[in-house]
Amino acid sequence: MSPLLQVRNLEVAFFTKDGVVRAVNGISYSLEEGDTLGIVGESGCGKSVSCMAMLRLIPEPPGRIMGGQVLFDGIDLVRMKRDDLHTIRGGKIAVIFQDPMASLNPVMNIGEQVAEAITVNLGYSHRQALHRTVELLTRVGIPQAEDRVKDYPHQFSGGMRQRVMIAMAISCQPKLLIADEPTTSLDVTVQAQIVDLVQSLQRELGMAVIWITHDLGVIARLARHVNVMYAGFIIETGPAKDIFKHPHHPYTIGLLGSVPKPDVLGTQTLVYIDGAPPDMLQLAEGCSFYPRCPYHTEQCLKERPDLVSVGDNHGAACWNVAAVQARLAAGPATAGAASGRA
Amino acid sequence: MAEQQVLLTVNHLKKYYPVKGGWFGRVTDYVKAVDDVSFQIRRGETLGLVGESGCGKTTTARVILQLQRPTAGEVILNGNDLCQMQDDQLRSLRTQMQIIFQNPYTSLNPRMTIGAAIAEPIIVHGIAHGNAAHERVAELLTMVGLNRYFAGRFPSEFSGGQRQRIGIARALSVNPGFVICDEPISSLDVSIQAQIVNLLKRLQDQLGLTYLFISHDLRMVRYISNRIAVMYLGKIVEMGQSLDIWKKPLHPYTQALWAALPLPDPELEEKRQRIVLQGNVPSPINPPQGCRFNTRCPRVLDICREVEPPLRELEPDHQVACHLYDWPQ
Repeated sequence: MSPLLQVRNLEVAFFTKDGVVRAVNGISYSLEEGDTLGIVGESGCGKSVSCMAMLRLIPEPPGRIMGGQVLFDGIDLVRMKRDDLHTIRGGKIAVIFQDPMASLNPVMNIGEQVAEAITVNLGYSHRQALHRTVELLTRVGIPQAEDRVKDYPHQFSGGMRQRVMIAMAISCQPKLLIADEPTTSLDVTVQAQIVDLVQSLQRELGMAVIWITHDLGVIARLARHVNVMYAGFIIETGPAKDIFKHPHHPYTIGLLGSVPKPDVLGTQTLVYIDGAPPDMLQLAEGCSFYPRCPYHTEQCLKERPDLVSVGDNHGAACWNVAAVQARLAAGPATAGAASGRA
Repeated sequence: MAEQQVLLTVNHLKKYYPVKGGWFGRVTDYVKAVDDVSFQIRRGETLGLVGESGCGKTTTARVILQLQRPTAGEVILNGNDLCQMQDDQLRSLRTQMQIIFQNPYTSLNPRMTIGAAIAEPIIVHGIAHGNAAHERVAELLTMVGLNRYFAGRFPSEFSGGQRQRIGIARALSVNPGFVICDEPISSLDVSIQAQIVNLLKRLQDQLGLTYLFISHDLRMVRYISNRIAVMYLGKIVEMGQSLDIWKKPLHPYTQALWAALPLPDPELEEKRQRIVLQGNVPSPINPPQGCRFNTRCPRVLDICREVEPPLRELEPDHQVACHLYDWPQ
């Protein structure tokens, strides 16, 4: 059986007055039905843009999909007519965003908003839709849903608003849910509630989930497979357990080192990545991580590395995979090579 | 705790904000943002202050610095009670206490070169003028890991991490002994957060700084702090050595916070026992009677709904406010 989603060489660029921003540079991956993929990376690495481009939700112009395919259930979304996209968006693929307040209409009550999605996508009558709304809101854990449907977004807390967004997203029983940093603005206790909710809904509905985040902890909790992105490239991809245990790309190694381990005390300096994320207007010709990489060689400057296999289903885009591993194996002291000037 | 080691003592600090309502705008209620908070910070140590948004962390910081005057209580820095002082008296003491803000984008004036921004406190407090001030700015920039020749540039030319370094340089320009770091890394990318935390630690060692480190990032707080205080709805519910609080949290709220924190290790995550707190933080206008956590506490007792538990020292240097520990085990 072919996978639910296949992304092949997707390229997205934005034509701004300062120049061309190559936001996504030929990424490929696939996702099976019911599976969970985590996409990690820092701001501007292309993790959100790549997913929004899949749904053709990037503003055109200035944005443009430069090439590639996005096969969902065998249909190429990139070549689909704009008019037909509504059969996919909201129906088969649903999205929840980081800021639920910005995604909800402030002058429409919650019930009407969720019901609208149901009437539009499933053709329910208004009454049926409202009834279903109450069921959905109850399912996502909103107490006294039958009263709260009359409330407006500002009367809900951040976590509750995100629950409303989730209710709306699952209303059409999507096959794929894209969660674009849905817990970033929430407190840890509420974040845990939302993560738990999405996981239980995923089991119940059998939907696949793409979870976009910069929080490695959240990824560890829910993702089975992980793509690490940097400067519009997937620089490492693999099963979550392998990536966290044996990261191969120097960027992934640095990212994991930046988070204090539970058993490490403050007397030890954190391993961190020097420098700042790249200027997307002027991407280097070679490896885009080269200026920040403690292991770089001559080759990295000139040629861009492709993903090479470093294990079962596990790939890293680095010329010096073997050398990096050898230096890591030599002991934690050399891992400090990734640090340096504080 | 030997008295001479203590740099800052906060006693029964309260900050209530009036809530006005009705036709004549009368005060109908109070938001009890900080409600009877007491703690001490020793010279050279870092006290981490954690809690969910709205629990009063930032208000505590602002009231300590007297940027807002407290409703009641004492803040004693180096033997001076700041709450009793007039504004002009406070000004001379401001060199001893500084703050690093959360948002490096809004805390720098976009029209002012960063050299001028860093020099301003030096000149205002009469620490140096002219060339000496320039020299000091260059020295500060080098100290925070920036090029000394950046002084003539504007904030828009810098990334978030660099701006936070500028904010640190400005805070340190007047040689303070005590620095409040109010969510200094929350708006930064993960790889940059570690750079800033390492910098803060290095500066602490170099200059003998004392920090109050406020954050909702429990991992970083635990990493950087010697002691941790956990706040809930304007009160400290648990306080103690960082390692004790992390390894054996006593208050159910602390336990739940720790459990909610996802660890960057998928295998550990699978095995972990999870306590997921229900609901949200209640309104600080009418906090629940008794223990403020009773509405969400998984181990609530009858007494919790009636009597507010006091903060008591259960083990050496480990205090907790919870009825579960009322009886000796």
